[in-house]
This record gives sequence, C-alpha cells and structure tokens, in this order.
Amino acid sequence: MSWLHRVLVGYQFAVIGYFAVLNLLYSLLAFVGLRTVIVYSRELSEVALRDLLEREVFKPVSILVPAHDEEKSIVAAVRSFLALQYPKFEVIVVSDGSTDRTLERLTEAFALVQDQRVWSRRLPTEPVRRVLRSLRNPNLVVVDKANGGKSDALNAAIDLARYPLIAPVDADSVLDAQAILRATRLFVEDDSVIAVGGTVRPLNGAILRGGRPAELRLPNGWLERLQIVEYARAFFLGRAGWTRFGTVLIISGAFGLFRRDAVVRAGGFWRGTVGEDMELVMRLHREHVDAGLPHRIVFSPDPICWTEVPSDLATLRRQRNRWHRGLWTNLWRHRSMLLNPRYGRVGMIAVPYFWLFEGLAPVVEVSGFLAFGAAALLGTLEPGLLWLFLALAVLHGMLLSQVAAGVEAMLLQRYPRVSDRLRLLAAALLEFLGFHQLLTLERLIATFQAATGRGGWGTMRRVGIPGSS
Amino acid sequence: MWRRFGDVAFAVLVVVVVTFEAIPLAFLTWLLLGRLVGSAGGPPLVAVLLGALASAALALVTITVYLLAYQHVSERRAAERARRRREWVGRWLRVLYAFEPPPEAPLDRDAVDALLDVRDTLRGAEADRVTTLLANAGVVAVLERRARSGRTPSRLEALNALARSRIASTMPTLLAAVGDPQRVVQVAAARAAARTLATIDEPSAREEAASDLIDVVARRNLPFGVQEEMLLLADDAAPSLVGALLGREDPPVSSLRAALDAVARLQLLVFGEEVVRHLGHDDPEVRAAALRAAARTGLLPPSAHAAVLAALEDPVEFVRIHATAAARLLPRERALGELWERLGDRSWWVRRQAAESLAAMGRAGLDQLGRAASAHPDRYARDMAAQALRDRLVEVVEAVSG
Repeated sequence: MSWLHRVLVGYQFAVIGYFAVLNLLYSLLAFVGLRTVIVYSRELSEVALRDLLEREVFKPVSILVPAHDEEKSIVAAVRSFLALQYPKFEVIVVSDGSTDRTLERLTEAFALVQDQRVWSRRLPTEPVRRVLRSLRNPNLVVVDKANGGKSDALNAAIDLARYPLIAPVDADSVLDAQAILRATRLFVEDDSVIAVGGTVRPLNGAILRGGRPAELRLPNGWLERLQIVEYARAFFLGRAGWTRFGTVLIISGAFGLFRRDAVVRAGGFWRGTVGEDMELVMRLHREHVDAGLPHRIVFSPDPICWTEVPSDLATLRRQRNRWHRGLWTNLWRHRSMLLNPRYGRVGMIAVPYFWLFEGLAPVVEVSGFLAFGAAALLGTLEPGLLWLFLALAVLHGMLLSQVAAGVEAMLLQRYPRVSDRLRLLAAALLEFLGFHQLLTLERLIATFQAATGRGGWGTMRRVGIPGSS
Repeated sequence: MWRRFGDVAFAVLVVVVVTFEAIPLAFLTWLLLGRLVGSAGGPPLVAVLLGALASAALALVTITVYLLAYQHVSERRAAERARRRREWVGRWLRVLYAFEPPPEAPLDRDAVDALLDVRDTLRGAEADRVTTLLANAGVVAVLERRARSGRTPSRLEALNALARSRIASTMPTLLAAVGDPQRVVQVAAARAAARTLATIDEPSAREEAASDLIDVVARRNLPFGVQEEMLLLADDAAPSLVGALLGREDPPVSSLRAALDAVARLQLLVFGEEVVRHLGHDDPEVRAAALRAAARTGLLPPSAHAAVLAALEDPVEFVRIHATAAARLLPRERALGELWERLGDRSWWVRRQAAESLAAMGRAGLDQLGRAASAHPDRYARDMAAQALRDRLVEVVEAVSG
C-alpha cells in the first residue's frame, strides 16, 4: 500500500468519524433543545406575564437600533419597537453615518427635533453630530453620528441608554409584541442572568398588520425558504440545547438583552470584529469568570424577533462570509478559553465545539469531498462507499431540519397553510442538495480571508420590511 | 405562544428516532476509530453505512409523516378546544348566576380551564362558590397530585392551574413545591403560593401560612426578583410576608432587599422603623433598598438624616444614587445644599439623580437648578442642571399640548 493510499484512506476514515461524532452531537442537542422548549412553554404562563405587568416587577429596557443606510425598513422597524407591550422602555436609533434618507425618513415619521442632551460617555465612539428626540414619541431618541461600524453605533447607543437593561436589535427587524416582556422575566427570576438571547425568525413572506406579522406565508423564493429551515434548526435545536448546558456562546445581533452595567464594565462592543454579538458574549463569559463574578447567559426560545433574510444569493453569500469571518476572529481573540478548565463547560465543551465543528467544518467538509474524489479516481475507494456516505450526510441533515420544523409547528404562530407546510418540508429536504454545499464553500473562503485579514462588512441588499413603504 | 399539545409525544418520537439512528452512527464511529489505530476487525464499513442510511431514512419518513398529521390535527383541535371552552365559560356563568345545576364530575380539561378562567376574574363570595365547584368536581385533588410529582411540564401546568384557582387548602402542596430541588418548580410554586395567600382572610391562618412560606423561601434561597414578585402578588397578605421576612433572625440579603422594595412599592408605612434600621446595613444592596424605600414612601424621620447624609458620600455609586433620591426629604435648606453638592458628583448617574431630585422639589428646587445651570463651579453640574430644566420644560409643553 503506497503512502498516498494510506493517507487517503486514513483521512477518509477521519472525515467519516468526524461526521459521525458531529451528528451524534447534533442529535443530542436536538433532543435537549426540544426538552428545553417543552419546559419553557409551560414555565411562562399568560397569568405569570400578566402578574409581571400588573405588579410592575419588570426592569426598564433601552432598545438600541444601529442603522446604516436603512431607509427601506427603519420606519416600520421603529414603529414596531414603539408598539411593544412593555410599560417602560426607550428606543435609541443610531444613524451610523447613513448616506441615504434614513434620517430624513425618521424625521418625517416621528417629528424629530434637535435635543441639547448631556450624557455619560463611558464608551469611546466616533463623534456624535447631534441627538434628536421625537415630538410624538417621548421615548424615542435618534442619534446622528459619524460612521464607525455597528459596534461603534451600539456603543454610542449604550452611552445614551438610561435603563438597566439594553436590547440591541437590527434595523431590519420587528419584535413580537411580548418579546421584551418575556425576555426580561428571566432577569427577574435569576439575579445572575446578565444576557438573554431570543429566537429570530425570518420575516420574508409574512403579512404585517400594525407593524407585526399577522399571518405567516412562505416567501416565493426558495433561497428564503431554505433560510427559514436553517433558522429553525439553529435556534430551536442548537441554541435551545446549548442553554441547557449553560454554554450559550452566541446571542444573535438581531435581538438580545443584556445588563447594561455588565456590558459597560466589559468595555462595550468590540470594533475589531464583524461578529460583535458573539464576541461580546465570549468576553462576558471570560471576564465574569476571571473576576469571579457569578453569571448566566441564557437563550429563551420564546422572545421572537422577525428579521428580513437575504433574498438574493450574492447578499446571502456576503452575510455568511461575514458571519464565518466573525466566528474565526472571535475564536482566535478568545483562544485562551479553548480547553481551559478555568472556564468550565464553556471552555471545555462549547469553545472546542465551535473550533472543531463550526470554524473548521467547511475545511473538513470540502477537503473530505476532495479526498473522497481523489480516492475514487485512484481506485482506493469503493465508489459505493462514497455514495453511501454522501447519502447518509444528506439524510441526517434533513432529519434534523425536520425535527426543527416540528418545533416550529408547535408555535401558535406558524405557517398555517398545508401547502406552505409541504413546501417547508421540501425545503428541509432540498437544503442539503446544493444550498448547504454552496454556503460551505463560502465559509471556506471566509476561513482563508479571516486568516489573511481580508474582507469587510459587505453591502446588504434589502427589500424592506413588508408594508414599510 | 406555544401549543401545549402533542409536544411531549413529538419529543418521545424524536428520542426514539434519534436513538434508533444514533446507534449505527455510534457503531460507525467506534469502527472507524478502530481502523485508524490499525484494527481491521468488525463488519465491513459498507454494511454499517447501509444500516445507518436505512435507519436515517426511516427516521426521516416517520418524522415527516408525524409533522403533516400534527399540522392537520392540531389546527382542528385548537379550534375545537376554543369553541368548547367558550361554551363552558357560558355554562359556568349560568351555574354561578342563574343557579343552574353544576355538571357531574369528572370534568374534562376544557371545563376545568373555563372554570379557572372564571375563577381568575372573581373575588369574594362568588370566588368561594367556584372554589367549592372545583373541590366538588375533584379538580383540586387532581391538580395537587400532579403538582407534587411527575414530569416537570405536567407539574408546571398543575402549579399554574393552582395559581389561578387560589384555594387556601392547597397551601401545603404549594409550600412543598417551593421546596422542590428544581428552580423552575420553585418559582412557579412561589408565585402560586403568594396568589393563594392573598385569599386567606383569617388573620392567624394568614400569619401562619406567611411564616411557613418565608421559611421555605429562605431555605431555598430564591432569587431577589422572585421574592419581590411574590411579595407583590400577595396583595393584602404582603404585610404578613414582609413582617415574617424582616422578623427573621439574620435574613439573607436577597430577602431583605425584596422586603424593603415591597415596603417601597406597596407604601407599607408601618415598616418605617425597619427601613431606618437598614439604612446603615453592611451590604450596599440593602442600604440602597432602604434608601429607595425611604424615597418612595416619603418617610424620613430626623433619626434617619445622619444615615442619608453618610450614604451621600458612600463609595458605592448605586448607594449614592439612591441616597440622592432620598435627600430631597431632608429639611429643605439642607436638601438644596446637599443636592447642589451631588450635582458635582464624579458619577454621571448621581448628577442626573441630583438634578431630578431638585426638579421634583417644586419651585425651590427649580430655582436651585437654575442657579446651578449658570453658577455651579463644576461644568458637568452646570450641563446636567440645564438638561434637567430643559426636560422639565418639555414635560410642561407636552402636558399643556395634551
């Protein structure tokens, strides 16, 4: 047996083993995530929520909305935030050097006027040009500042925030009416909770009334449908599973809640990454452990944020490229947490998982396919083995997607039409027949870009929140 | 937000299919690890892969069929349950107000839910009649049994139903559940117990139940927020709970904070002395809670002035913030002077609170803010005072313009 043959065979075995271990972990997360959802659905009754409001056992929240060239969606998004069912909150929109009509649209819609405000500048940011307040909505503040990126905009908003909890949300998102109420409940129930992540669902195709999705319909494009399945799997299985082990490493930038003092103490959002949401969570874990402070970072399947997902391939590729570069930047920045028992389960389980099965996954997957192809060409591999392995990989991915779709079906607000349900099931089947592989290639490119320090935020083409015009 | 129907069956199905599918995957992993270290034993790889493939395909088909069936069945069931629940609410109202005979036990789930809906909206004698109906139908016994043991989701549902039914005789069950090792059960039970305690009118029974509840809460060291919510949910029984908490020997900090916050929110002036006693507590959270209570109740006897003045110089920022809020209750000239000083505090939040306290003091405070805006030696104090005056102006304009 030649050395090349031995290397190829050994690598094939390693790849198949990697795949088997990964899928076992996915299966475990799926089950644990499902159990978390079932307990959560009973833990927070309508009676408990009503009590929370009536007895005023809530913490006021500052909703932070960084916006850069968001003229298509900003007004609808802000309207949805202002219409939240929550007794005490403010909305702080930061126009981060917008070059389109974002500010003008806000000014027209909310009657903004300049405000001579003084505020605590604990987090350094690019210069703030002016602060505006609304004559119609006293709890709306708009900041006009020089461009500094999403992290910088969020830091400016944190400086202006008055309340003990902050909720960074994306400007192309709308929140469920009870999202904040449900998420803040977790801070009430446990003093050590410093951050809560919520579920994010794609908004595309939904019919909005009063700024909220009144009826869910699948979007026309298959690209968006495939992302609906992806989001369900990531949130209902992945993060719901991780929270059970106390190892949540990502709170989506689209919607999360943090204790302001914890974020300020940690230095706010870091400008050196395009994955600022994950970086902050990793830093909060790290700094709290280093300082010996008790802390919990949790995910709640309940609070729902609706976001516009890319509807064209180029935007989707840019987004996934950015996410993966952000992942690598963050993992590298916090590499001292890797397999470090000081950080408990986060250091010993979650961080290694993200290195091995998220960061390196595209490298292993693509190189595995290449090795299989080479082995088949060299005649060192039974062709049947290759096809069987591929079929198994596809089938297992489909199975997990179906389980996630099952959790989505348990929500009161689900895709009600049978035709939509069938298409969603079909999307779960189709996801692994090209879509997943395409995004894997993009993540591989992002891995090399992260290693060489290339790539920026990238332009995100928006269709706009339905009805926002 | 969630359908509480079919989820447990789905979880069981997922466990079965995932296990069914994980076995060949685990076997595959073991086999490959063996091959990597040079062992060639075991069945051929193709056979194992075929087995894994077959099990995955079977699992996929099973889950897909279940989902399609679930979508269809759950939609119809939800509509049917909503209709039946409406009917039951109507029937229960006729039982209560038109004196129709109650239905025979056992009651189905929709009937119980509808009766609990009705109970949740009633007080006094009518509520007592619903309690009798629930007891006669055997519902209470079933809920108590489910709350004591079984799967967590089922226990949480039972505790939620008991919270809505608010039946005094269920207190022992609820207290036992507060002592449960699981935090989610503790929280749900504490909430239910507080709601139930609120319905106990007889003073000695109420005091006894309050004392028992506080004992178990302290033993389980429930978080501050949960204790605070519990105190607020107890309505008229809140003073009993607060008294039991403050009367404990060496109570935990979380309990003290919760009790003092309840004093503030419910304006329990009878605990004024307790508030004063804790103004100098060793723990800054407790000091802050006592200051908050003083500020919100508006009670600051002369004996407490020294403690507030000391707290204005406290090294902990949030204690100074609350001391600044309470400082407006000092004798006017003293208050104006101290708040002038605090406008120049090193903390932005203390400066802001000082400005807000002055703004809340009426004409004298606003005059002081005006002076500070132009003549305070600290630039940040001048800015903050000007900001507070502008905010006040905006409020006035908004109030006038409706």
